[in-house]
Amino acid sequence: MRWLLKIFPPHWSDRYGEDFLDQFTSDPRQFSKWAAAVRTAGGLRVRGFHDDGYSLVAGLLAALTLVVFCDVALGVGMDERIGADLLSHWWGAPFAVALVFSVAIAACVIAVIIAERQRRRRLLKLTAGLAAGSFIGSAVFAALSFDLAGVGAGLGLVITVTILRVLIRTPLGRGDGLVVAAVAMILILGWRSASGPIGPLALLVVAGAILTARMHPGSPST
Amino acid sequence: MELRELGRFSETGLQVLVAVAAGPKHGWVIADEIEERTGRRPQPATLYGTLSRLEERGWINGLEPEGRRRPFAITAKGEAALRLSLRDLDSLLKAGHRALNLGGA
Repeated sequence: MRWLLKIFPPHWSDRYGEDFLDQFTSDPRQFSKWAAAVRTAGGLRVRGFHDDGYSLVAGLLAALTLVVFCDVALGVGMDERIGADLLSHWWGAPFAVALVFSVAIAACVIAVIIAERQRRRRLLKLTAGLAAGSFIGSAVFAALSFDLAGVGAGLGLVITVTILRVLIRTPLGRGDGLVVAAVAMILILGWRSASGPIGPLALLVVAGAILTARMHPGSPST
Repeated sequence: MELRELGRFSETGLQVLVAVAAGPKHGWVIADEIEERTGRRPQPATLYGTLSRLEERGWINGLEPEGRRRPFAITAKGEAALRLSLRDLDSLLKAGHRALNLGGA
């Protein structure tokens, strides 16, 4: 059962893990105790991400994801031919990529300005790194095929987070990398299946999850 | 510095603060007390999620573990937060009694 502790942030597991496992294993409830554990672990992970001084980056990721999904959702609602025309023309792909990522970059710039004011140098580097990573990943993959732009952005984010963890010793843990990876994967899933039922569903799930996570942005991490 | 800062953990937070206000206790005893008082045992994850949030805010302190179990004690800040919550509850209780003409409050 010790594997269950892996879903919680490491510092939390170190401090409360033994006691928690003791009670968890002897608790007779089945479904509800698992649901509470997953929900609490998710909350701790998300709050940790927000409150280690990275609420702006978390907001940026949320904004980036929402922008991309809104774009996908717009495509779903449009006449199929119009959407297909936009994405299939050589001029359409760069336009759409520029539209999506210029919004992301604008969000990054705002985040960077605020970060400078607050003298959060590491946040500044991390924000700039995430913006550059997602943009470069998207640009490289979009050059191969526009359909792969979302995949590139996702990979760019994951690779950037991994590199930044080493280079600037961010307090991002493995779990935070997983959050980013999950966002990227959902983004890819939504992108690839936007014309099917999974796209709008994924949009709703992600938007709901992000809004829920953003409900208490000022809470301290756990 | 209010318990409602804890969001969905605020109810359990209040129960935990009441439990440790009488003296340091570890998770098992706190859960037993809450179950005795409310008829419902808190989910282990909810209980320890609450303990960690209370500890972050400096409302309780984790003491040296006794064997495998770590007792928690209320702090001065925790007492202040508990007093504030109890005062709110007290005024709610009085208002409810007045509304229902129950008297005695």
